[in-house]
Amino acid sequence: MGQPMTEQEVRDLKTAISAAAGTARPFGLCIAAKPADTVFLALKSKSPAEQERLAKQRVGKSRTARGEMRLEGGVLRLCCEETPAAGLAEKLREFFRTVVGASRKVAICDAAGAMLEGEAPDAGARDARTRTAPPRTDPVVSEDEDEAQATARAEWTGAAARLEQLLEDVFAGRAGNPATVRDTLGLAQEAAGRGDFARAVRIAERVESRLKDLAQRRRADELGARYAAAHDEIAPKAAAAIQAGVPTAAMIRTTLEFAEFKAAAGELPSAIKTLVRLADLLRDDPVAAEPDPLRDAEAAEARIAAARVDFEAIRAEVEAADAVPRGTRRAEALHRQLDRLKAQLDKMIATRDLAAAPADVVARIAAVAGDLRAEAPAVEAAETLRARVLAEAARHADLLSAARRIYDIGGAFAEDIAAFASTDRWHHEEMARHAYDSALSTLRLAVIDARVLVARQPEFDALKANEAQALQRLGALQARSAAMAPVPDALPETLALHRRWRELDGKMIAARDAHDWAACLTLADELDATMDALDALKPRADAAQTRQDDIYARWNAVAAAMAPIPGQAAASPRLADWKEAVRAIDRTYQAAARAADLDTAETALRAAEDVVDQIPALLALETTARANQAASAAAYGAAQPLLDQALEVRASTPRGLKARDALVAAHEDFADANAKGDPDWQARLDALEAAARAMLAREPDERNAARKTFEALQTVIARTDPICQTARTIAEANRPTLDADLARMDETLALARDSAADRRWMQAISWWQAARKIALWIKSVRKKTAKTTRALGERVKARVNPALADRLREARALSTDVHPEGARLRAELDAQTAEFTVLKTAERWHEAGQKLDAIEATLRAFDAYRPTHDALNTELATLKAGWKARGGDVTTACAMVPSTEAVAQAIHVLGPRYLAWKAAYKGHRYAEANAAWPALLDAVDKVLALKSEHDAARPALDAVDAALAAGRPARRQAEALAPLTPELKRLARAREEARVVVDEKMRLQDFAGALAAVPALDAAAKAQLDAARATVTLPAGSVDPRDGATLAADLEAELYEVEAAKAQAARAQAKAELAARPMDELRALSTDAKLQLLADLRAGRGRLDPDEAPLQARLYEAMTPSPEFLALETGRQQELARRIAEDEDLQAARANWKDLPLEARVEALQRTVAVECEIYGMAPATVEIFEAAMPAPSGYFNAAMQTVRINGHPSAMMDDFLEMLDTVVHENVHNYQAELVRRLEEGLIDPDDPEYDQARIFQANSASGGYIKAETGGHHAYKTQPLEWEAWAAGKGVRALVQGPPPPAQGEAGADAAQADVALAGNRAEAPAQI
Amino acid sequence: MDPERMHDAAATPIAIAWLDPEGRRTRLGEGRIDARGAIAVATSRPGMADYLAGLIDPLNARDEVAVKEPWPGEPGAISHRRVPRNAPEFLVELKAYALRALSLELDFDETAFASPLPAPLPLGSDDTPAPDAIRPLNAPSLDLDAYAEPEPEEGDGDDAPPLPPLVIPGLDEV
Repeated sequence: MGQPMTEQEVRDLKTAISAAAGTARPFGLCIAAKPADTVFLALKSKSPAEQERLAKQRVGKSRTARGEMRLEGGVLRLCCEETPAAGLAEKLREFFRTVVGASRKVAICDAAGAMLEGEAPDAGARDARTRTAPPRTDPVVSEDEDEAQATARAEWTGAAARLEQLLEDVFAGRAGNPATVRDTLGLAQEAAGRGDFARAVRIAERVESRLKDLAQRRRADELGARYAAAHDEIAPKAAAAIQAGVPTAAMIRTTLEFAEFKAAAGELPSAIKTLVRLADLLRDDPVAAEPDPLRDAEAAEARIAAARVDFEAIRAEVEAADAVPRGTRRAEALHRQLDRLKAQLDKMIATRDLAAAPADVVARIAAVAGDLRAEAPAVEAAETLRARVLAEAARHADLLSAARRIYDIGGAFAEDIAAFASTDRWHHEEMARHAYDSALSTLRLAVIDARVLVARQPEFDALKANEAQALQRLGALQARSAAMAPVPDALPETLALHRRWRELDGKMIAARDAHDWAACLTLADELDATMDALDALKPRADAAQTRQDDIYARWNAVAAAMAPIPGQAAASPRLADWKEAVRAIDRTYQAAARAADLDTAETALRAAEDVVDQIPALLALETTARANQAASAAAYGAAQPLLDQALEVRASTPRGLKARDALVAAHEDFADANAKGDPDWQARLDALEAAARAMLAREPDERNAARKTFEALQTVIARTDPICQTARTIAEANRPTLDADLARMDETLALARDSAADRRWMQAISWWQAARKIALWIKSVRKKTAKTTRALGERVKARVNPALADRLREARALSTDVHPEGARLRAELDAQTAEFTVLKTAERWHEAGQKLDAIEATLRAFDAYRPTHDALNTELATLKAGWKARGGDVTTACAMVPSTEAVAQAIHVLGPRYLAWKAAYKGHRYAEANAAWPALLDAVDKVLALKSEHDAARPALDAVDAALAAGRPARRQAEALAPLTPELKRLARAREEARVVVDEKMRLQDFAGALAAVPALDAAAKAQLDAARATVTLPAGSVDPRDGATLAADLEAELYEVEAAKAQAARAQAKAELAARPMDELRALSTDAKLQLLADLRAGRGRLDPDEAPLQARLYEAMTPSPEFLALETGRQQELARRIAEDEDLQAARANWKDLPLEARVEALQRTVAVECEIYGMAPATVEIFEAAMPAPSGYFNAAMQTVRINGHPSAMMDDFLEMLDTVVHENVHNYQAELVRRLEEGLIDPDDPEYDQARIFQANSASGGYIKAETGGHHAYKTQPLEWEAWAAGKGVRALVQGPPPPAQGEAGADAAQADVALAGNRAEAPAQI
Repeated sequence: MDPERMHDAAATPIAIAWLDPEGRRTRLGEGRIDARGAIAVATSRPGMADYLAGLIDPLNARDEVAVKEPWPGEPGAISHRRVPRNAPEFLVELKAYALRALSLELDFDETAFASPLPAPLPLGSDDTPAPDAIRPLNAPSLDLDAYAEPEPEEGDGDDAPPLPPLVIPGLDEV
């Protein structure tokens, strides 16, 4: 099967033909029967023979031609090395018309240029080669334009030659040129090709200027590098010679200083020559008999030159390897390796690296190119399969596109979209990893899912129309709200309306977020009505606001007048009373103000104003009271030691207890005088001191009596407790009549126990006696209380009547399996009735009555539930009937396994339908389940129709299952092993890969292949287990990591146990270190140290414990990029911003963004992403639109599809150019990060590369369990993790650069301006670091 | 927006500065901002009036600002939350938006437009004791007057005998 030209190749051919206007281009072609299958290559870097061979390989025919082509006067002249078959010109004209899409005149010539067939260049064109003016293609162009074109044409010839030379100078020997230069040059050549020399010259001037800059910069860089290398070598030797005092020391010093002076002045050639002279001086001197760096540089130059020659020798082979498509994983990896080696060679050549060995690199390039060419047959086979998959995909392209356009609205399509998105993504992942067999199988599943989705297109369209209507209404509402004049909250009505507005707003947001558009429309009506009402009230509200402002101002004046009043509790009783009264006024006022009740507020205000006059007199009283209070407090302080001592005495006699009571009373009396600032406090203090002295005088007696009092207490307790118990029984049997008394008795007993615990025996006796008094009282009223209780019992019994029995019977008649609520209510009712019976039997009428209340509440809940029950019960009956009829078939179908592709596809349809039905059934949504039943039965029938096919294939599948089952325990053990050593990691990966092989073959129903692959899987698991169980020797004197013991002798241990113990210890240490180290210290650690800490923390696990997640986030925050990487990123962002600014189309798109159709916007974003990818040096990602009403993603990067997906829904952010720029840059940075990690894992990044450390950091961040989601880890942790930090910084950075900085300030003294900025800066926190 | 039309009570002062990528500020101008976030530039730094107008005019024309946020469920994905001008949090989000999207620092008091509800009177609380007040002992006490005498009941024959007086030899009688 032929490989026709791709669209890109056709575009390249057009460019090549345009470029052939000035210079000859090699070509090779092969003519097929159909023009669409013809292959015409015109690659500048390939020889005609090579291109002819490639074309022939792809077409598979023998009608070929090769040679050089030239565009002359609109005719493409093909000068063929060998005379081609007749009719070639005609075939090519047809090819150009149908494939290239442009009619073109073709002339076929022999090698000497003699025309064999086709058209000669037209006369005008031939003349044009001799005339100074270009051919006139447009009859309306003026004479001036003719003249301008003529001048430009003359200039173009020279410009093209100069550009060729410049290109050679700048990129000579390098394996690749920047695509930008090539593309721009192509544009110039294209313009010249169609006779527009003025444009060609304009473009050429731009390119020339850029190339000159590059050449100059490159030259300066090379000289700088050479000078620096030489200086680094020579300067220390010169210093040593001067230090040693060699005879030529003075000359050496002067020469070195002169060289440095010249270098500083930018005269590098002169500086280098001076260093050469210095080297000669040092060579003559015995102190400096060292190797000559300049000579080394010359040697390096020679090596580089030789390598360039070597590369030229293999260039054709490398280009042939380049042409091998990336159709297999190995080819993909080899291509990447080859690209890297070529870049490495370019770098060596550009930097003149003295230590480089370019010959080795060239040799490696040759080897990799060889491997790549050897891979070509495998690639070809894969490409054939790929073409099949692509053809299949193309066949269903419309269906798949239609399915992708359907988005979820309010959850209606969620499950079907998830199913399709999953298989669609899976298909693309398989394509990306060149697993075309599997890709074909998954494509078929995606097609099945797409059909399900597209079948619901009418439903989607209807919902989308609702959505559009609601969004339009929301927009109008928002505009009205934004334009609406504020209505003050000066009336209760406006206050209520504003409250209502906020409430509706909240509901609207919830409805919008749930995509409940019907609710949105209803709420919009209500919001409109609310706004109408507010509008109507505005005149009244505005008028009321004047009064409200006046009240507020007067109230504030009252508040200001009250400011001198002390905030603490007042000492003066009059002030205390006054404050209490004013507080009541304040409460009234606040409530009225909050309710916009201005009348009440004003009344309260007047009341407050009335009492303000009393403040001076009250303050005078308070001052006097405070003075008394202060004096009494001071005197109390002096007496306090005596008082404390007296209060410590434990009363053990009745007299002692009386003395203590007197002491306490005297204290409270004095405290009261102190609190009120009473002037007679001194007399009360005297009394208090007297009471204290009396207590102290009793202390010996009290101490002596303690033992006997303790014994007396035991007697009191023994006699009191039974009475209290009896009283408790009586009280509980007569609830609630005696509840308060029982509580008081218990409280008294608690005080008694507290006193006893404090060894205050007499006090305890006193409390027990009090409790006894209460208990005796309870006993004394029991008969009277019993009457009340009996009456209560009668009332309870009366409630248990036939009506209640009927209600209970009805409730119990409801089926409990219809809904969990029914079962719950039934269980509750049964428990309550059982408890009621017990209480009734025990004649605990009060509790029995409460239980009856609960039973009645449950019966009311039954009443509320009954309609639900009845509705569900009917649907459940239908469901049960259906299941009775076909349940067996469903069970049989669900028990079938994907034993053939047809069965697999049928099961793929059945699975989601069964799950949806089951979920509805289990969720008691029987109507939904019944609605899903016919579709389920349809799927069941289709599966059962394949039963015989299934059964025939099943044994092979069962054989694989049986084979897998045997090794399952070992695999489970192997899966549980953490990859604690590199070897264990390697073996785990090998096992996983073996598992993928088995799974993939199972999925493709290749059971024989799967069976054959099982031993390899088992072997891989066994290898992993063996490695883990291997014995290691822990030497004597070392510490056993498992228990921390120092070993007296050598000890053999299992490797995994030892490594797990080590990992555990390292993890604990990492946790301690991460928790303890300040952020500055963490930041100062090397990347190696940070990554080691992270590895220790993770200890080979794919997840972290809850306490470890914040530590990982902290470490991420400390993983700041290196200055080199930051500089690289800044440069890239600046380059992107510059390219955007220079891109006329993008600027035009930006200017007209709001009016651009979606397609044009996507095109502009695509251009931006393509430029960004080019700057990052990676393949361009595709920008694709999806639709989903917000809240939804605005954009994300789909790695499987290499696509930046942007939400184009009207509710998304598509109207804002800068926001979209930020979004695509952000998402494409994630693309770059993934690419960087891929390159790192393929060994394509050297440790000295500025991206190396950052790639390792990204790798760690994107590892399993390494990415922090905002919803679980918090916004700060999410945003400071390396992957997101860079993406957010790049989005913001490019946006800021495109927006541009402010212009320099004018007419302002620099110092003043700086001062203003500093002053502004001084008041604010430091801005967050940005790229 | 004409600053003269903004009533003093309805607007509050604002200072506008541009932040470069290193976080350094360049003062651009001053003016007033109203409760809905409309900015009226009164004075701008010489030579920066057009630049400032080029940023502020579109900002004033917006009905809403967009808050860039992570989208849950899809690592790396972002979303935008729209905050309309009548939202309570608009002024706070306006500051954040200007900083993120325009590198502008808007310095104003976003609480200046809070609802003018009156503050409670400055009477303090009685729970705060005066500095020279002493603490009472608060010894526990129960009012047992209601239980002074057991109520006599007919046929109440099984009462426990009353406690004999508690006598502690050599000391007082209770």
